[in-house]
Amino acid sequence: MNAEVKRILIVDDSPKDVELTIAALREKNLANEVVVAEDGEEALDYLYKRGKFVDEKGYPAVILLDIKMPKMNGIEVLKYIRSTPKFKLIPVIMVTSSREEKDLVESYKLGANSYVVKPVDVVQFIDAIKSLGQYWAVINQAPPVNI
Amino acid sequence: MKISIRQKLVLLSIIILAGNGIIGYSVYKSNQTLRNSEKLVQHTEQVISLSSRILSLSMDIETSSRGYVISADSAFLEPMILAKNTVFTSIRKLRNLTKDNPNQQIRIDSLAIYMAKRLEFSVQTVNTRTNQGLASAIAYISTQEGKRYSDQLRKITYSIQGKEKALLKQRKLTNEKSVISFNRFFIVMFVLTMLMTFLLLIAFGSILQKNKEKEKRAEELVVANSELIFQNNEKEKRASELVIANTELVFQSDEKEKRAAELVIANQELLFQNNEKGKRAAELVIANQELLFQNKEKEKRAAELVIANTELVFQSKEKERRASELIILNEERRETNEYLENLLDCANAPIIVWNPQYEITRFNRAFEALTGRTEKEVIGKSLKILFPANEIESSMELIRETLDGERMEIVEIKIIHKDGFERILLLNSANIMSPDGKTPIATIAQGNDITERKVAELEIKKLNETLEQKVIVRTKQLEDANKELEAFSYSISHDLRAPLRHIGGFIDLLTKNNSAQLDETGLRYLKIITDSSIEMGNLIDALLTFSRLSRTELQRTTINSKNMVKRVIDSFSDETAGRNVEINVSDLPIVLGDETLMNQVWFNLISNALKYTQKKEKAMIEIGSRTENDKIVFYVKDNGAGFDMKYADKLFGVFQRLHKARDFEGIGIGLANVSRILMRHGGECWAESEVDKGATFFFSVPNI
Repeated sequence: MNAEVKRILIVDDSPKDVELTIAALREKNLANEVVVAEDGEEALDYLYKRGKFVDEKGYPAVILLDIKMPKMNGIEVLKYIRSTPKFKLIPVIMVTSSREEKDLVESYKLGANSYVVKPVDVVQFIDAIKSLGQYWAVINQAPPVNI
Repeated sequence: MKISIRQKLVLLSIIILAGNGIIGYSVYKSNQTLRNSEKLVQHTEQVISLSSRILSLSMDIETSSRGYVISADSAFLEPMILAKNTVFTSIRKLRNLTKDNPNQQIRIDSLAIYMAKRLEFSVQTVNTRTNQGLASAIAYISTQEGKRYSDQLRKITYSIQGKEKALLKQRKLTNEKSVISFNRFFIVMFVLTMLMTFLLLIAFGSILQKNKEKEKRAEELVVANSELIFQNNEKEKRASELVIANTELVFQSDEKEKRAAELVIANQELLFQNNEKGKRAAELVIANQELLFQNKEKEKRAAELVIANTELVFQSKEKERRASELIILNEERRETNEYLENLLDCANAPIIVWNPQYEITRFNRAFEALTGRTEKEVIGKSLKILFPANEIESSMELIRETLDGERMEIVEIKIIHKDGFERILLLNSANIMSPDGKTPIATIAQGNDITERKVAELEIKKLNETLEQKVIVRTKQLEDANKELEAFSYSISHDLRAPLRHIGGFIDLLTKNNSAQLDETGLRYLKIITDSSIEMGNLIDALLTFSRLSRTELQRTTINSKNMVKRVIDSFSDETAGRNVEINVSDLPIVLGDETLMNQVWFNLISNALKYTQKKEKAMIEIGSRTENDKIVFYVKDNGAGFDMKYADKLFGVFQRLHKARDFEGIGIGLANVSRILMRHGGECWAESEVDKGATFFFSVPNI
């Protein structure tokens, strides 16, 4: 595995949530593996290595994708990733505040690998993020990706 | 081949003879046709007279039994017995007469059937009179059954006669045609024969001419001979021989002459005979035509006579019958008229009668009240005065249609009061027909004043229209509200929970990273803040769930309630593990509903029952159902804490609680959800309880 490759891409417009997520990942020593995109468009910029990510290399082992974001929302990002041959094998975890069934159903229909509701209870939230990071960034064997 | 004059004469004579023969045969043939026609007329007359006789017998039966009913004198029954004995023989005869016609046979069979029914009815009438008296007999007669049979008999008889006449007419037409064609043929043959005779005469003429020439030559020979005697005595001998020869020649010539004269005479005779034949043939044609004409006349008269006779018989019987009935009827009619007059006047419904000229002839009191006009004022006036000025023509058209049909469907018509206001009538009319049933002599109409009803209908219609408009507007408003609510819920789900998560998250980070800088009180405050944010999160989640219950579509399936309740109870096994709990479940019916939502109802109610019995030594829970008309009522009964019935109306409200959180935990959304779910299923829920004596929660769903 390439050490320069950031393994976890967090796509979330809420800096507070990002901070909480990173804090959780830190406990598993995964904080350095994280790259943050603040909305859907930035997420695609990262995947295409353009804009502020022009110097980045490789693809993430997993994407933690929020749904409700300005401009391009999480569902649209997921749809784009799954319909683009280069990216479609990247594992995508929906991490969202929405308990709405229609969001859940839509996400799985579009090929999300998992759907996690951000719990209000912070302990639960941190546990969830920790185990997610552990599993997808470390345990899971990532699919082969052509660069 | 050359044919000699003699042969020609023979040939012509044979042709003339053959022509005469054919003429003779055709005269014979046409005579025979005439005889056939005569026979057919006789046959028809026989059928008609026999069927009339049968009909008259049936009337004898009717009259006789009627006579007996009126008088109870058995002398009246004689004609009936007589008719009874002969009528079926006559029908058999009639059947025999028409055996070549299967259609007539069918009619005669039904004639026999109705005759038997008629006879049976009369016998029954007589029996009723003998055994039960006059009144019963009259009641029996007035069933009209006898009249129906008589009508049928008459109808069938007339039909038999009509068919027979039609048949005769058809046959005669065929005969007439053949006579005409015979006659034509006869005339042609006659003309041909005449022509042949004429040719024969010409032939004889030419023979006579040839004989005269021969005579002349003989005379010339005598002169030559006498000259020869003078000139040559020697030749005397030869001359005398020549004289003898000449004499012989003369004699032969004489013979020929004689025969020619005889032939002329014979020819003249033949001519005379031919003339005679022609004359007779012409006479025969005339005689034939006369005969034909006479036959037609006879037929016509015979038919007229039969009809006249039948009518006469029928009329005299009818007269007899009517005379006896008239006395009774007249009295009845007087009473009926009086009764009807009263009825007409006292009827609540407006009743009017008019004649075919649309002039009012009767106007009852209700109509007087309706129009403000008196009967005297309107009698003889046109119906037009009853209608509003702008509707006279259309109303009269409606009325006119009444006279066209026998009875018309009810029409709605406006009637104007003398003082100008209008009333709406439902007019139900019927024609009164002339005795022959063909022409209407008056029309009677009964009205039903529906003015008030019409006004009400109009108002209802208007209200309905407004209502529909309102419903459309309200539905739109509701749809909008629903959309707004959805957007609102979605927003709450995301945006309201994020700050809570942040509060909880950063307090957690604070506790982990900075707890050394806080004292015990500070740490306790942090704990309270964390708990509060968790509680608020739960409240938000509960509210979202509740609002989702109103929005999501129901997926109705058949639900086995008993199985569902068992599964729900099993899911509580962990919580009841250390407790003394007895749950009795009766047989529960199958219902139609959304499986997930109904599961939630049972879950909430059973969960409540377990929760509020947790302080009892032994929890007793009973689950059952009963069927009430169109719904099924389920109940969950416990022996738990119960509640005060005066707060029962708060029980199913959102976040409403009747117990302190300290005593029983919960946020007060469960029963609100139950109520909402049942409302969406077309059912309802309620509860009965007494403090500390347990509670029973009921809910109903529509019976499938």
